[in-house]
Amino acid sequence: MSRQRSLEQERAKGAWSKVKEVAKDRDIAEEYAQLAKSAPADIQSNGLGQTLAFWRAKKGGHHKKLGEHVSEWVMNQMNQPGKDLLDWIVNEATTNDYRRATAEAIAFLNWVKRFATAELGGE
Amino acid sequence: MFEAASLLFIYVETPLHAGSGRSLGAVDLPIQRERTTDYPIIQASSIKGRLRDECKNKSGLSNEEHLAIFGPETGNASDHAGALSVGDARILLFPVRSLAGVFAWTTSINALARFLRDASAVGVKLNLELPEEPNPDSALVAGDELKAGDRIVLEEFSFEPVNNGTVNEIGKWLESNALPEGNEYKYWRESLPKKLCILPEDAFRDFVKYATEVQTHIKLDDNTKTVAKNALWTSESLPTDSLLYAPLMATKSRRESIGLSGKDVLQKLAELKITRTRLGGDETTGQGVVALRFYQPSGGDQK
Repeated sequence: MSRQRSLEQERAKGAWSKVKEVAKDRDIAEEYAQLAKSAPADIQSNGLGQTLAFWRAKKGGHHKKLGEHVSEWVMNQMNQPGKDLLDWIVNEATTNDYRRATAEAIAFLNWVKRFATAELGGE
Repeated sequence: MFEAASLLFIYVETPLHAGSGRSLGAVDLPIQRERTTDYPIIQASSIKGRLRDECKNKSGLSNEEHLAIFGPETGNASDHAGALSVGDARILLFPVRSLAGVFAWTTSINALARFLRDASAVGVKLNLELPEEPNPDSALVAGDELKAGDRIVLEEFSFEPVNNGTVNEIGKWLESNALPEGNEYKYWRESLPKKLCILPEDAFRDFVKYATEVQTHIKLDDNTKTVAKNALWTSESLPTDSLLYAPLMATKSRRESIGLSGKDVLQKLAELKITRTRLGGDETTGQGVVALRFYQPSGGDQK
């Protein structure tokens, strides 16, 4: 039996654990779900850098949390663990890296969006 | 077998939503795409149905000829097949916001190679050599129209411009053969070679995936005049100024009362001078206006 798992499975697993973690924090759970719901389309419309910067400017607990989750996941996928995604985009990433990071962020957030809707209320 | 074939060029004038139903992706109502490349397409049945509708009751085409070309009405579908066969529309040029020159018509070697192959399949021979695939961070252009300083900046991604003579040749061919012929298109035809940009194929794929038009829709609650619960969704469209092409093929008429050769069928279609139509959804809110151009191969090397 092969232990090879698809990238989508890994994304789902990562998203699932983050959503479970947020579920314990009732103060931000519902707002986190709302934000996650629009996040993939926001990135597609406005770009990854702009969206991350916007979340950072908003200073809500749920903005901060979702930003951290995306950052951690994408940086691990780009083999840059421990770095901050926005910081890396601004200072280091090439155009190619940035495009890959965008695709990865949207793919990951699609899972977060589904699980958050299911687990944290909201629709 | 098919006796004659040609190409139909479809130029998008207002955002076009050829939808594929609900999705679980980033956008609630996505557009139709190819499975293997994620390139946008418009399904053939949608184009054929639209042409059928557009040609009905047009002077220059009798009702019998209409049935011979497009096939009988649903009730008599088993009588015979129509003489016209339409293929899926594929993307050739995709407009992307550009820091210089407002927008660039992007394409890639992959998209161009497919176009050459599809064109050759319908007997359209283009004497165009494709250039080498550009480096991952550069783009092939003709001239300086798209250069902002020494870079090309599309959306938020920057590329190093590399001048390439072939880009101009491809642009010139499309200018004369693919863009709509009307006088109102003079500016666009002349702009094309200058705004044409051949991207690395992965970059082009990412643009057609992520740089489409995304519109947010809501429904208001009558009493509160705020968004009704759960009534917020996003819908994706192909942006204005996209260029697609679809193969057209014709057999001789299979309808007993009508004797048309395949060549006659395509001739008849082109002579109806249908220059504009609507495709896809949301027609009543101004979406999906397209300009059409029926390409006529000169020399007629038909099979």
